[in-house]
Amino acid sequence: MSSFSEKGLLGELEQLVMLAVMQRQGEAHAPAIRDTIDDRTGIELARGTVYVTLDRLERKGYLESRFGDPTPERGGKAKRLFRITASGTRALAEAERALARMRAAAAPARSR
Amino acid sequence: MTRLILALLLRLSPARWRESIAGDFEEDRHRGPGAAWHAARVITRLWIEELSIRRARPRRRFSMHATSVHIRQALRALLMRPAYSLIIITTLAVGIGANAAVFGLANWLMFRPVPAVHEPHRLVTVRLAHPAGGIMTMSHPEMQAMLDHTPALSAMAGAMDAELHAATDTGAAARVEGEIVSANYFDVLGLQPARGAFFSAAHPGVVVSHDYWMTALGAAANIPGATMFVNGHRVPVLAVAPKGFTGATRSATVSLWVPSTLRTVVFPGYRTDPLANMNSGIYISMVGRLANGASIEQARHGLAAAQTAVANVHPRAQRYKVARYAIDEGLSAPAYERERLGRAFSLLLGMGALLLLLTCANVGNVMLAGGTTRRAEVATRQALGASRSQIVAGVLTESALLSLAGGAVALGLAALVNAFMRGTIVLPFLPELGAIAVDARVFAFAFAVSAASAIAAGVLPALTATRIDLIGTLKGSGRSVTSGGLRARRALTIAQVAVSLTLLVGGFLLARSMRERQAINPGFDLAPLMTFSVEPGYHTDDLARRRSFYADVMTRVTAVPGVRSAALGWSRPFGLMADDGMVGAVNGAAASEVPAETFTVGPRYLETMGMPLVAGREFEQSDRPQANQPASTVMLSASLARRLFGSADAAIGRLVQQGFEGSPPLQVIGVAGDARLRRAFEPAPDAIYKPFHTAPSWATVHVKFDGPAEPIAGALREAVRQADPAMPVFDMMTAREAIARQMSEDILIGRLTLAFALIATLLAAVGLYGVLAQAVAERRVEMGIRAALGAGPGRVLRLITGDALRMTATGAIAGVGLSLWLTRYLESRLYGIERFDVLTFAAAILVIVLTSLAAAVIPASRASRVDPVIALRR
Repeated sequence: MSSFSEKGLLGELEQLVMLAVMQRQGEAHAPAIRDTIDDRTGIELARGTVYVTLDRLERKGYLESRFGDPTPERGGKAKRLFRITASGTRALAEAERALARMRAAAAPARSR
Repeated sequence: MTRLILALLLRLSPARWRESIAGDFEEDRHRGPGAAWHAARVITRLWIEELSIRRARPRRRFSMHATSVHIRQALRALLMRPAYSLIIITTLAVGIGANAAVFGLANWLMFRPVPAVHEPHRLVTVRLAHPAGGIMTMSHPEMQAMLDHTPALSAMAGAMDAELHAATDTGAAARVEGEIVSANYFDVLGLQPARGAFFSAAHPGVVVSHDYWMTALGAAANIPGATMFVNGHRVPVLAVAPKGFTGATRSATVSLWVPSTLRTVVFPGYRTDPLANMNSGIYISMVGRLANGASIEQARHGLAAAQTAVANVHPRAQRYKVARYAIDEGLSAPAYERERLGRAFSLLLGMGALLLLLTCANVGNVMLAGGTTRRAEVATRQALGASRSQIVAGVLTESALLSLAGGAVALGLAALVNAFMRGTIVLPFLPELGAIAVDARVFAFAFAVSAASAIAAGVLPALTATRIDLIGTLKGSGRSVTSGGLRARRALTIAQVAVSLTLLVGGFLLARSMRERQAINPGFDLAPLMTFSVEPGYHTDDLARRRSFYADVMTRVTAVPGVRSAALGWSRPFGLMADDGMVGAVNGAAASEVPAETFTVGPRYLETMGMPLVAGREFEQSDRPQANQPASTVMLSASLARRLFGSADAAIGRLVQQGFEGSPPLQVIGVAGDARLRRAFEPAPDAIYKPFHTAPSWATVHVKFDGPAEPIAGALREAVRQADPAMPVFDMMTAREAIARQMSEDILIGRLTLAFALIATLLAAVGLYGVLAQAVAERRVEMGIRAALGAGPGRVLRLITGDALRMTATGAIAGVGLSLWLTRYLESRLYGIERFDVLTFAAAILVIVLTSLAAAVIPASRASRVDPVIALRR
């Protein structure tokens, strides 16, 4: 629970973005992350939102980034590629666990 | 295009992000349309995030020390480059000064406080406003009724403007602007006399303005005690108004105040006591003082109640069915005048803003150039650890200092501009322009404009100042082919060309419209015509005396050498005064009545005016109602004659009728050519001319003369003085001056636009010169190589002028587009010319192209003379 006390539980949006980063191992630059989320969920995030979320996650230490090699179709500009960190993985798992517990506790009430 | 916008947007994005989003934007662009829109949204979002992060950090305190360091550094930097500083200050001064001058004029007429008035914020102005836009008169008892129903007003005073004949025992008679006011007028305004005591019931008399006292009365010491003549009647001078006070409205220049109790004395025509008569409209505006703590809303309610009460007891309540009391805060001009001034000044201030924008672009341009030469300094500072914001603050401080200096010079310049405008423009609604002073308001305006221009001019240089390749600059390379600064300067110059062209088009359109107006043919001879008016009705209501005075004046005027012919008439050309009415043929169908303007004219009128006599004869001395004559005689305009009788010849001898049914028939004895006697720029109306046989209160003498106007004018004045030394001559002017009065507002706007346009073009040329000079300097090596490889001077010359022409062409295209859009605001002021006039656009473009070629000459010749050996050795 250490992550929670310091940085709060991961938000829905943050979880979406981190899961997308995990899926696109090593290839996760912002447009790709946005596309992934769109493909899987139909949720079309604003471009700015993706950037801001990535930035927050990086500042929290859950993501890290590096610049990839420049590609010609990008006007010779490099991609900023995101990768999940160890603490990121932990935070994600923690959030999932917390939600799962809550869901389990609420299940009987819902079925009634 | 998208690519350019994306590049620009990228620059606007938070620095931390720039690198990572650049590629993504590019990718987005390849994917499809809308990339720029997406990018803009992304950047907005990023900035919101960025700002919230920054706010979360402990805030840096505003440091007085840092500011003073910036100021000292900027001062030192500016003093080290006096030429650079001077150019910028002068440029800014022109831009700010032109705006300050226009605002100064607007301020004088619309905003400045009326001097010497006590607690002006508690004053209100009340008028009887007609929904059609005019105002109507109010009576003295009406004012009492308003006070009775409006506890929110503690006092009210009425005023009516009137031209008065003023004369002293020694000086010549003059017609001056005066006001007939209720006796409590000065008390309600809270004025203190400079000398003497204001009106009192026991001692009736007049009050003179400080100026009039100084000039006409020779600063007489015996006030009260002195006397003067008002409309030929000797009256005591009770007091001198406080210095600077010339009436309760800003544009008034009143010299003389007469209490309404003296009204019957100075205007002999009034037999009944106007103060007691509810019908006698003797005030055109009222000044009210709000009771302590009362609001204008409460006053408005009271006035509405007063209106109902007055309408109930008012025998002529009819006019209150449409007209309503209108109350305005402070001492204000009537609504229609405010609107007219507002329209004129919003146009001028709009152009002033364009000019200021140009000035700032130019200064930004020069500062960018300065930034290039200062790169080493900035790089050193950055290398020593100055943050980007500190560098930006430094550049902005510099531009702020420059702008303030420019503003200071501008205020001086504004005073000069006002002096230049003094007397050069005849504006019937303007005071003597020389009186316009720079007050705190104009000062504040100039300061605000300076501050705005500091930011506008400084922002681009500040941003580029920090985008420097540190290592390269410190090593002293400076060989780069084109710097980012130069690209920004090019864009600025192109914008300048565009705006200059727009102003030029506007200025040329107005100038050509002015020439069209001056070239009109009004249907009579403008050149040798002079008119002046006299008003014997002020001095006597004895018709026989007036008639003999008019006869005497005409005899003397005709005898003046150089006068070819003279005629009396009621209204002067372009004087706007005339009666409108319906005219029809006697026994014709009622439907055949047509509206016609009525002019009252004496013998030899057509001859004097140079108006053609189409049929019949002119009036003669004998054309007056006589017992043995069946009908009074009239002349018709050719168009009216055709309308009523088919042709001019057919009209002669026929009878017409004017006004009510049963009014006496009038016999047509002549038909005159159609003429624009009132409105110079509208088609000639149908007109009917009646003989000048009564002795009206006032009349206009029309004179056709030979030779220069000045000596004739003097001789005419002398002729009238000999007929009656106490009778002032007024509205003396040539017909051309009369036209000029009708278009005075357009003349002012035209002149200022043209002046603005020329300044703007000059600024654009300077900007262009600066860009080319810098480009040449930066491309020295390239030029050297070209020369070494055999490019002749002609080729290099073409290269540089081609560069100049490309920038000009781009700017001109944008400018044409801007003009097509903006000239719509001039459309109502144009006469005889379309706003899309091709010739005008071509002329403006030609001026711009020639100017830019001139600006290119020096840099181009310098480039062509680059010595390859010297250039390559560097």
